[in-house]
Amino acid sequence: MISFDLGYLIVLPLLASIFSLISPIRVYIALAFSLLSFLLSVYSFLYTLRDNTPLYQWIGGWTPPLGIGLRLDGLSGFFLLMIGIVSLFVALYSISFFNVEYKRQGRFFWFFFFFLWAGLNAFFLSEDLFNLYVALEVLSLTAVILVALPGYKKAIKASLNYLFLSILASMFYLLGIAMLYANYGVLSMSLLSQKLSDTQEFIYALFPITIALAIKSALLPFHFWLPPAHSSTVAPASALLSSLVIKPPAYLMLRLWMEVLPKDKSLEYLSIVLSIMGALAIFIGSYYAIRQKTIKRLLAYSTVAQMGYLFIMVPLYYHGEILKEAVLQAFALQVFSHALAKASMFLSSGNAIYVAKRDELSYMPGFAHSHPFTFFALFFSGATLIGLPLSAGFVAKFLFLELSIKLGFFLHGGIMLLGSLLASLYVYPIWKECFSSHPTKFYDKPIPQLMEISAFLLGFLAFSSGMITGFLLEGIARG
Amino acid sequence: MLWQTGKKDMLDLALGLMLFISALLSLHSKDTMKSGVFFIIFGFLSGLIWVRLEAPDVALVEIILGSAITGLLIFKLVKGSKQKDLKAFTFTRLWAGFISFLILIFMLFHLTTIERQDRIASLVFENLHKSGVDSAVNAVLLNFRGYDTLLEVGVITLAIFGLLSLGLKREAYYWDNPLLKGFSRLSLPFIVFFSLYITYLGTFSVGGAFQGGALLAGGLVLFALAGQALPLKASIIYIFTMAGLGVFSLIGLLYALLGYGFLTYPLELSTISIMIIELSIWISTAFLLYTAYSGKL
Amino acid sequence: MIWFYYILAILLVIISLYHFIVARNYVKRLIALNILGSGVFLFFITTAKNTNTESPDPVPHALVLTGIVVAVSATAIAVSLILHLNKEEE
Repeated sequence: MISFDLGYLIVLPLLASIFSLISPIRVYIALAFSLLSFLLSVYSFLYTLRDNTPLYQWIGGWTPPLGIGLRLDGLSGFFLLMIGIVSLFVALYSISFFNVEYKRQGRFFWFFFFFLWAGLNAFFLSEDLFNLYVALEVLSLTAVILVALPGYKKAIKASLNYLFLSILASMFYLLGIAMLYANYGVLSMSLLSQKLSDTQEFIYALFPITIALAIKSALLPFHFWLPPAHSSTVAPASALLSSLVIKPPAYLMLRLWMEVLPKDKSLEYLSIVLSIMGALAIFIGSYYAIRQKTIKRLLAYSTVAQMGYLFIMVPLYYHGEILKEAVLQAFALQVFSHALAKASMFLSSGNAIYVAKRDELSYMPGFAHSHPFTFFALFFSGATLIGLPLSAGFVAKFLFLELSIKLGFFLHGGIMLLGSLLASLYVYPIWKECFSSHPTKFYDKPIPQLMEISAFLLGFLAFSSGMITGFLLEGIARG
Repeated sequence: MLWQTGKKDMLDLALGLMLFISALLSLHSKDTMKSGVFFIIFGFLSGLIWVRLEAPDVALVEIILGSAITGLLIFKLVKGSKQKDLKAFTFTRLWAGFISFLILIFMLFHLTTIERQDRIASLVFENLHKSGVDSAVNAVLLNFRGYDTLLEVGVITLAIFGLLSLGLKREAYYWDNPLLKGFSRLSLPFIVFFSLYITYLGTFSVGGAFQGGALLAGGLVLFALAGQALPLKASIIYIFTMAGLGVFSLIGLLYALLGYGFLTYPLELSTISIMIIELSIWISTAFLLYTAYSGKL
Repeated sequence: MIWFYYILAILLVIISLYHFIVARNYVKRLIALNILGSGVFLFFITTAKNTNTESPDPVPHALVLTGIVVAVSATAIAVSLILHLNKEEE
């Protein structure tokens, strides 16, 4: 009987990426490994629902501080599931997508796709600060290449900009780790949290680390790289970038604030600054999203706005130990609903561009008439983004609202409600175009079935998972 | 505290000063070619300083990879791009300078909080005999924190394949000189053996797979610079580039399947596992860097 | 002499940061990022020397080694992108 080893979650996609370079059975290998990795992620999630204690694994048998620790607890198991679901549907979409266009890029796409999956799994499982740095590099460099994949000038420029900022952020993060190591001599987060309880020196190291994570997760004022990067590349890559790659830095911030950092007055000021930045991100991101005339840029700015939700809540991470389970549930569900919804929207935008050959909203096909599946994909995912009832987005925002009222942060709750309103203002134009009955917008071109269905299913899942949030979030606070 | 400047301290001061000046010259120069040259000098001096700080393995990697290969890449850039360097707006320079100054003060305050302590060093030395190698750095790199190295090999593989995916058709620059041809042909076998020796040396002394691999890459690039093609099929080169990541992942997987745990070498097999992994990293680093230079497979 | 090297590392970080923000040229910015990396690595290696054990701490050495390989990979990607960009502009 083969015992469950957390290393499988990382090694399997890594091997898949190597095997996928062998043509011509590339597509079958990709499909097989996607399914395998998905099943492994589901198994890990179900594993966390079983036990009461988190699963720690010390690679090589060396316990920290000597070795690197992997940790599968409720939170990381849940995110592994999210990664699995989004990746599986993007894989299904891509199988069809690279069959009909961008055939040259399709040769290499799978290598990067599985590499990204491996990096994501590695990030969410790791509890060693330097290991997180390497995983972050895996993610960032793969993302940079995915942005540059189409090969035209706009994509290369966006990719280069992204690369420079990404390297800068990584160097800052490394500096922060160097400072922490110089002060405390450990790299493992759990050991660090023990050592930090009475001290004050960690404040110094927190600055470069916070700036690094802010750059990586496109928090204002470091958000400038995101709209060009996420909108200049092919639809499946944009989906992966906006829904998955952008999340790890925010997740790391949550872990740091909730589990590692002790109570300190200066942290309170920092949390206020971060929440102001988050609120500004919601406003400015939504404002620019409303003003966009092309779908992909609109969705990219929407990502900036939705990431703002995760940062406006930082004071809640800091003050909320008593309600720790609620905080984790709200955060996890917001990330989950946004990931599925945004991925579905990007995939659907890929469908729109496939049919119309253009990116502008005004040229978007009247999907409600010609391709109902794609319309429903856009409807369900858009509704989740806004936070309409029954969707997972609604439950997430409801949890946040409840939490902010319980802890007395009424302003934050109000801003989040406002954010939903603003989101509807930029989702509505997309829906409007679907219903347009302008004759030139009835494009006859059929969309490949797999592309339509995968986008639709992802959107539907985003919406309907709102009804099973109880089951999904059951094990979140374990560990 | 008595400030005694002995001979060694003078060396430190001199090296440090030269490092700082070369960095300044590299960054400040208006000509990108000069920046590149000073950057290579900077990298070399960095390596020297690290030798002074008793980090010879890292110094080796820095000089080969950080200084030489990065310099090679930057020269490719300088040769192929336009050399413009406009002056930035005064406002940008003002607030950039202000921020840099703030960070300087901030970091100086932080320096006061650092103390002399053992950190993880004592644990490494205690467990060294269980690791399968005698060199402490390589024990950390390939056993205690081998998982980091796995991801790192992944990163370099990813970078080179990303490079390939961009599909830039580069004219292979070569210098048709019989002297170069002969020399590179003569020296290649020696370089192969020497790099293999350095890789093997990593087990008990200064050395390692990355250093050896980069050296071999240098030899291969020299060979290609003379306009000669490697006597290997493209598919073989392909396999070599993926060997590092592939073998490392397979070994990790194998031990997981066998029940020992992911990347957990059993005590008796640790030396042989590490050697196999080092060999695979050696060959893949060499061919990956060679591919980065030649731009195509 | 340890403190001398720490201060040197910090100086490298800030001058490269300044030039990264100020430079208008891709190559300069790339060089600035590499020098910034070297500054951080020097910080690590100085920390490795700052121990009570006889030999320096091998863990930062391994971390810096990994860091150098990662930095070279990132530089390779950057160079490739810049070359591609210049090619497109011709």
